[in-house]
Amino acid sequence: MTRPRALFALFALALAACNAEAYDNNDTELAVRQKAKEMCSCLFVMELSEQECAAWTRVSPDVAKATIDREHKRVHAVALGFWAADARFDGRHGCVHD
Amino acid sequence: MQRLVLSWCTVASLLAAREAVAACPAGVTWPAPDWPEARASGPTVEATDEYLFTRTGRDEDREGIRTDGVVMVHRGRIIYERYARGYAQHNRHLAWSVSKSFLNAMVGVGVGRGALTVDDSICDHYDAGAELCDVTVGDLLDWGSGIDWNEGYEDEAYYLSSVIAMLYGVGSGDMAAFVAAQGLAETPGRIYRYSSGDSVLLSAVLAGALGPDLADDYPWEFIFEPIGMTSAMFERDQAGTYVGSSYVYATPRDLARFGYLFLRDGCWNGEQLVPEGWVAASTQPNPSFQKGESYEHFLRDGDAVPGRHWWLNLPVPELAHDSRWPAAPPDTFAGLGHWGQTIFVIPSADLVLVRTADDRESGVFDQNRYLELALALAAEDSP
Repeated sequence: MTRPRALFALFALALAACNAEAYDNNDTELAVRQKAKEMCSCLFVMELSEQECAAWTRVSPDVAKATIDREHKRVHAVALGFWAADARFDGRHGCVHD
Repeated sequence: MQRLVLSWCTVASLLAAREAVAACPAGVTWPAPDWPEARASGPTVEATDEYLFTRTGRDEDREGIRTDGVVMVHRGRIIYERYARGYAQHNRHLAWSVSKSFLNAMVGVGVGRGALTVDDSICDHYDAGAELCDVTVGDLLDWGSGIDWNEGYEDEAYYLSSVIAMLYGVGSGDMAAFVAAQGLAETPGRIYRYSSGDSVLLSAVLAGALGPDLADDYPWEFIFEPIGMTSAMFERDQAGTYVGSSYVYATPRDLARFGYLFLRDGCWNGEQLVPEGWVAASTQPNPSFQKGESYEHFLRDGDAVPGRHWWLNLPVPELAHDSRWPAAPPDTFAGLGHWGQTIFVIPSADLVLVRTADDRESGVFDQNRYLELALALAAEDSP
């Protein structure tokens, strides 16, 4: 992809993420929050592997990437370098957004 | 309309008669400490394995039937059990909206303890705002609050969905407050419309009714511990409200315990855990639905008839709407969740069926075929 096309694609993606909505969220922000919470629950509640949890939590747009802290049972998710979300495991109450 | 009411009355009478003879029966088998087993074998098992566990699409594209686990309990013994796709007996599975049926049971125990009644205004127990004070606990159980709600999932833009905003977006910090803030779209109690918002608000109302001493522990004290669901987890939002719409987790064996509680009309090992009559009342067409003003809009082809946070296998002849699962008897009821999670309870066959799954391709898995196979396995299980 040429640089102008890449910049245009990035601009279009950002525009799509900032569009007017019924609720004060955009799809990218929802996707990153979904990734943090559901990846945490999949790993620490359902106790599946990272690979299985990546499949379980994949949504469209598949823009969120998760970083896992197994020692503290936390998941940090980011998308497009701007949106981020965290979730933590809380014993029998499973996972919750931070 | 008169014919419709008569048909509901007939069903209600039959269900009431079933209740009258079934409370805390003696001489039944209980899973204490674990389920007894009487595994089926033979061609029906092979056919069941093949239907439930054969890959029918590209897994990387999440196509086809994607069963994670199945447990079938007949006459209190496991007759069929199998896992796949990385799951084993010890793995909890997300129940998604089957959680709503758990919430029904917890409300039932709360009612039995005198903490609330189904006729209470929700404002008796939760600060929902004046506009919602005509909404009753029963309206929430019926998904008939009239609260403005869009129960959309992956099939539309996320930002338009009330439930996605509640679970992951602006509503996720305090989900019940988010639901209450949506305001009314209809008169409470008049229109049935399936809503995860009603269920979450009901969780907050129940917690308010129980008070701070029980608000944290009630799922365990009321249901999970008495029936031995040691694997159960129940997630909360950041405000501490249980996400009663969506977030119960348990192993399939423990999910079967819950189905078995309802199969035995709320009794567990001789104790009436869920109040007498609660199961029967929850597994009749719910009052908001019965009013008939909404079902033409909200009963889509192939839907089950809504009970109170349970789903029923009843026809609606006036709408030429067949029962949801024609292979199963009319007393069948179910907890149903996203991506194929199900707990079926079939009292006349003494059968509980749990299936966990990741069915992302809608319409591929045929629940009727599954029920047909399960009923055949039960029929082959000699007394």
